[in-house]
Amino acid sequence: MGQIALQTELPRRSLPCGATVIVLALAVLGAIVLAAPQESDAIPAWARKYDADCAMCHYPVVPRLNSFGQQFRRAGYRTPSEFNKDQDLTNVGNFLAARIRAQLAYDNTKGTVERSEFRFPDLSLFYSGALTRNFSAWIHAFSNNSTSVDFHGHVQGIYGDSDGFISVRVGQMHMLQQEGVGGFDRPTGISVPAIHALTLTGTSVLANGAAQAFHFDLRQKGVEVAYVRGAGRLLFQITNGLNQAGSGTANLGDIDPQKDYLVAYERILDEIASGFTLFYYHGTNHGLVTPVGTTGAPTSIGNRFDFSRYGFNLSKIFPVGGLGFFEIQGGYIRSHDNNSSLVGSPGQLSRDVEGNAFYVESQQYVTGPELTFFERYSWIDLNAPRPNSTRKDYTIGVVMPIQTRLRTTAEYTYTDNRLSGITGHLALLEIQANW
Amino acid sequence: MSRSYTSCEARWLGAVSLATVVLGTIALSGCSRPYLFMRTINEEESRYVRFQARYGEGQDGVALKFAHPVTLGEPEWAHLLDNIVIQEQKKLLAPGAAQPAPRSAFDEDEKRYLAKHLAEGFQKARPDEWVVFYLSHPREPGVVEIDSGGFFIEGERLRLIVANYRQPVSMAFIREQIWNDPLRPAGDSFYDVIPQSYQALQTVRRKDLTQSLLKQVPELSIDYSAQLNDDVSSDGEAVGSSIEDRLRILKRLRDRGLISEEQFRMRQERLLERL
Repeated sequence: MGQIALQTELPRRSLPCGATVIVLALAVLGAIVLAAPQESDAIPAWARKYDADCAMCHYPVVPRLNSFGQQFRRAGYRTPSEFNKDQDLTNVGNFLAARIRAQLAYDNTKGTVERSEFRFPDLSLFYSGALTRNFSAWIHAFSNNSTSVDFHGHVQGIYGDSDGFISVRVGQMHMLQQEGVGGFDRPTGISVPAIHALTLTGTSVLANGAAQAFHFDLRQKGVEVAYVRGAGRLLFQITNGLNQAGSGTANLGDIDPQKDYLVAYERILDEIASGFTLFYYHGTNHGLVTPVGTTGAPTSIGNRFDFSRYGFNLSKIFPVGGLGFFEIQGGYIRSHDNNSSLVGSPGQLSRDVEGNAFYVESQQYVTGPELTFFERYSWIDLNAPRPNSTRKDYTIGVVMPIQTRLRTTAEYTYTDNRLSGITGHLALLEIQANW
Repeated sequence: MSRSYTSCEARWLGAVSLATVVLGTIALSGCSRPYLFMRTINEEESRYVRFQARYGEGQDGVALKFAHPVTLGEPEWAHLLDNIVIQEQKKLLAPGAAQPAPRSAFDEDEKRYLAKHLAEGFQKARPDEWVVFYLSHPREPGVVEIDSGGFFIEGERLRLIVANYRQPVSMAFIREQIWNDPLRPAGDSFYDVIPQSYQALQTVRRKDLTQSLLKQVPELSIDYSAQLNDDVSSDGEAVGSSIEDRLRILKRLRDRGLISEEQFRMRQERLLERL
C-alpha cells in the first residue's frame, strides 16, 4: 500500500532537493548499518601501542574520550603505570596516526543559493605521544577543505605521579573545546555546540570591532599550567588572544602587551564520560590593525576593549537497563564586552554588550548496534538588552561505528538567527576514518 | 506563499518521519538479542566457567545437538588447553621489531582453573549447552584484561570460540556485557589463534551459532581424540605431568572406545617401561 501511494504521488510532486539529500543519506546510512559487520571504533596510534580496542579510551565513539581516555590525555598520553618511566620511541606506529573526514552536505540558508556539495573538512596527520619520563609532544598537521596545510602542536611536561601531578604545556593548543570534560570534549556528532563555536556577542550598530570573534573552539598560542588531583583538574592558560582577524593562530602573533587568560576547573564524575567544567576567560579585542613592513608588525591598533566569558558545562550519563545509556549535557556562558566605541551609537544603550548563551543536549547510546542518537538545542542572545538578538540552533543526528577504523554520522541543523534575519537548514552525512 | 511554506514544512516533516522510521528500525533490529540461559559450574569474583544455552539466533534446543556430555579428565583438558596457541599480531610501522613468538594462550593458573572446571562441566553439559568461560586480570589501575569465549563438541571435534583475548576494558558496563555474554566480542583483537596439529581455524562466521556476534571471531576446531591419542603415543612431553596421569588418560580413552585394546596395551607397556 505504501509503495502504491508513493508511486501515485511522485509524478505530481517530486521530492525536493533537501529531502532528497536526507533520504539518500539515510538510505546510505541504513545500507551501511544493515550490510556491515557492526564493529567498534577506530585504531589510532595508541590503540596499537597498548594492544587495546578504542573502547578503552573512547565513549560512545571515536574521538570523544571516556574518563580513562581523559586521564590519559591529561597525563601527557601516559597510562597510570607509565608515570616516570622511560618510553620506547623506536616504533613509529605507536605515534603516527591519520584521520580523514568526507561529507555530503545540503545547505539551504535564506539569502544564499540552495546547494548540495561534497566537502572535505579534515585530512589530519598526528605524531604524538609520551617521549620521555616527563615529556610528551603533540603534532597535528591538517588540511581543511583546501590544499593549504596547517600545523599546531605543543610540548608537555608532567611532574608527579598518577594520583597527583603538575602539567605544563607550551605551544599552540586548544583551549577548552576539543580538550575538556563535561561536554567540552570532541562532539559525538559532527558539529560543536553553537555556544562553543560561534561568537557570543554582536551588534548591528558598528560594522567593525563591535562583534567579538572569540569562541572556545579556537587554538591559541600560549602556555598552560594545570594541577591534576584524582578526577579534578585546575588549569590556568595565558595566551596571545585573538588577532584582528579573529584568529588565535595567525602568523602575525600578538599585537599588544596584554595577554588573555583562562582559569578553569574540571572534574570527571564517573568512569564513562560524565563531568563538569567551570571557567572564566578574560581577553582583549582589537579593531582595525594597520600592519606594515615585511614582518607585518602593526603600526596602529583600532578600537581596543576588554571582554570576558564565564560559565559552566556539564554532562551526566545514566544507564538504561541493559539497553544502553542516556546522557544529558548542557552549558551556559555569560559574555561581557566592554566596548567604549559603542557609546552614543543609535540603538545601543551603553558601552557594554552583554550576551547569554546556553545549550542542552541529550544522547542515547544503544549497546547492541552501537548507535548513538543526539538532539541539541542551542540558544544565543548576542546582545541581551536589545530585542530580536537571538540565534537558535536545533540539531539532531545519529552516529555509528562501522567496521574497524570507521564511523559514519548523519546530522541535521536548523538555524534561526533573529539578529541577522537568517534561517537555514544544514544536513550532513559524514564518514570518518581513523588509522 | 502560505502554500509554499506549508509544502516546505511537509517535506521536512516527511524527511524527519522517514529518518525516525529508518533509524528506529535499525535500533530495534540491533536490540534483538539471543536468549541466554546460564548455569554456573564455578564462579569467582574475577572468573567463571558456566553452561550457556543460546536461543533466538538460528538455533534452538531441538535442532541443535552437541555431542554432550563428554568425559575428559583434567589432565586431558590441561593438555588440550596447552595446545591452544596465540601470537601477537605484527605491528604497523615497526621496522626491525620482531613479531613475538607464538605462545600458549593460557598461563598455568588459567589452565589449571579451566581444566578443572571444563572437565566437570563437560560431564554435565546438555546437548544445547556451550561451556563458556570468563577470565580477568588487572592490567593497571582502572583497566582489566579479559579473556572470554566458549567450548562445545560437535561429533569428534572440540570447538573453541575466543571472543575476547587480553581485551583491555576500562568501563564497567563493557565488563558487565562480557560477563553476561562471554561470546560477545568487545572490540578488536590484537592476537591471532595459531592452529597446531589436529587443529583447524575457521574465520567464517557461524550463522547457526554466532549470528548475533558483532564481530567475526576465530573458531578453533580441534580433533581432540586424535590430539590426545597422538600425545599419549609420542615420546615427547605430553599429556599430564606424571606416568600415572597418562595411564589414567589411556584407560579413559580405551573405555570410551577411542583406542583399541591392542593400542591400549602397547602404549601402556611403553609408559610402564619408563618407570
